[in-house]
Amino acid sequence: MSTAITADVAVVGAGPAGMAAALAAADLGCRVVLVDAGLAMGGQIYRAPASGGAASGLGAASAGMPRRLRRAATHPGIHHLPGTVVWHATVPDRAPGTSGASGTGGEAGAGGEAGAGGKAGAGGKAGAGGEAEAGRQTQAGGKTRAGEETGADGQTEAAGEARTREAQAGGETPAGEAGFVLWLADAAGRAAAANAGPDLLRACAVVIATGASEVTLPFPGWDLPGVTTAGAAQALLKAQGVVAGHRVLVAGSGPLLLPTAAALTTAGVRVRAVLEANPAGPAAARAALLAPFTEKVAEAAGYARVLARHRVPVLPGRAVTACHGDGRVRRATISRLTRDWRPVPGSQREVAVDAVHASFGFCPALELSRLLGCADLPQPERPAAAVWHDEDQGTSVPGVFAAGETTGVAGAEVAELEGYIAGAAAARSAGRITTGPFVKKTARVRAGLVRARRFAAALDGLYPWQAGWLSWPEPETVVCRCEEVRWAAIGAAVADGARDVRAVRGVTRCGMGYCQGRVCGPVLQQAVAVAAGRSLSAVGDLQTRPLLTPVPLGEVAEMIGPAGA
Amino acid sequence: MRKERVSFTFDGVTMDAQRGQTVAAALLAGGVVSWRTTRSGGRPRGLFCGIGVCFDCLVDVNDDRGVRACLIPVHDGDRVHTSVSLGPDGLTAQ
Repeated sequence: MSTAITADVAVVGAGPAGMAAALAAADLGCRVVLVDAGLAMGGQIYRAPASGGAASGLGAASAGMPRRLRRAATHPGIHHLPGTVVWHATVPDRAPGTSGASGTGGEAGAGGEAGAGGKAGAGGKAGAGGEAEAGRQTQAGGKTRAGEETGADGQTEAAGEARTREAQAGGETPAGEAGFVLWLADAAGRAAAANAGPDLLRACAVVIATGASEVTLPFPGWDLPGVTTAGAAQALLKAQGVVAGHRVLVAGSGPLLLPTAAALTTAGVRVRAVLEANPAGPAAARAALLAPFTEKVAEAAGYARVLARHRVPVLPGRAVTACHGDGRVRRATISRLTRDWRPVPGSQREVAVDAVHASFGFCPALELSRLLGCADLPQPERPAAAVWHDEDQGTSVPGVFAAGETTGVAGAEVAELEGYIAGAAAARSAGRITTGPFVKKTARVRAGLVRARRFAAALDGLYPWQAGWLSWPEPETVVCRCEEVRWAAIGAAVADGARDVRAVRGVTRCGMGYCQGRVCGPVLQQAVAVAAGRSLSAVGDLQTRPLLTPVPLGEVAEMIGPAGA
Repeated sequence: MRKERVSFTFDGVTMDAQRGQTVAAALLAGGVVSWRTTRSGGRPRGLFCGIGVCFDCLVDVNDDRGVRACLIPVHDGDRVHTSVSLGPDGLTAQ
């Protein structure tokens, strides 16, 4: 009943980063398995209409996926597992740094080891102390041998020893070097028996391309039906040809607001206003930084033209600070904001709506990287870390690579370019390419990546989070939507002595529900930091742990059978 | 050739949807905005994140309880039910 599948490279996530990684690795001769929760490749950005776009035509032309990525759908070296989630994963039961030594040639092995060894060391340093150490401990998972060898100079000896141990390990270590094991389920959490797909994926190398999730800040009524993220409105429209409301507000902060509003407007929705919380002044000044990126400026101008044509006001320095309705949103309160996002007294006005689409940016999805023991990269001023990586997209765990929004939210172009490097690096780690060709192969991509990252950084600077949102919720406002934890409970927990996010979670259950804090986590972190008078890094985050996605207990019991014994 | 529309029931009422649409999209297209109430507050819930992250949109489909309506495609003949409460054993969302 258990079916396993083996790959040189497992890529998790089929957005631009994952597709590029899969293509790069497969072009180098790797057998790639590309796992994705979606039914079609493209991720959240390149969405194909679920039913071929036949009926309404809404959003049907908006997929916009570059031709170079479309090749992933037909590449013979890429085995795509759609509608599939990874709910658990383990690292090889062997020393770090040996994943390149697959016996296909001394050169490949040596190259892989040198790179991997360097990475592990660098990870420890760059990951800033505690977190990186924690990462390594998790990775070692009680295997003291791994710890010893991190410090060992004799890489070749270590590799030899590891291979011997693997041979002895028998059932514990799968055939060959495919030592990473990913447990798979379908979107409903059912493993192979129900989804007719494999339930285990073994691989020599793993590319994490799991993207990011959207941040929405809480305000009274934000949990009323009809209030969604902007990403939800985009996904509904692009993939499903459906809109959540016909008289809506698009609110929040960040570059997602304009395209969302433009797409909805084009689809016939009456967007009453676009509300950007950050003020226009500094944004205009900093927008000069974006001027050299003419293609991006043109894209933004295109959205603005659509909105202007339909007389949709785009209002800076404003936000939706409350929603009202019985059973669904009917009215929304718009407030003018001070520079630090406090509502200006007396500026409130109510408008009639049947939906509000809110978005305040994105947080890297770190569940898989943390489970595998990869060190975080703290992001200053942001209530979210990213995955630490080196210049080859290698994480602190040898054989594990990361690309795209998990390494820091920077958009589709950076994601794709990182993906090509990560895929090639994974192929090197799996022993399919040596360092010389690897460097040559990735040189052009790296040049593009420098420019793309410069744009992303400039754009990011336009949309800082300001702490004034902390005055939007009322004491009774639900902060944790799953466990229905009220705003007042957070402050009370801090007043009672909870000094960090995990302590507040323990006291209040905030972040302990179905979503495991994916929605309230960043919000909770900033709330606790301000209430406790500490920094974001000092209060920490929820540090979600396995499982990666909820599955029935029966599946967990099953895993002891096929691979855990 | 497969027909483009599929038929399903929501709490016993027949609705239709485009083939391939998710349960959430099909319900929203039919004017239904919420299909669950929360365990302690009894508050209505529908679509929120739309991409499988938030678990707000949990719904019962046939014999599966608490599946994410934003991810699951609706099939011809599906019986979709409001998850009034996920119940005493309902902590296991799927």
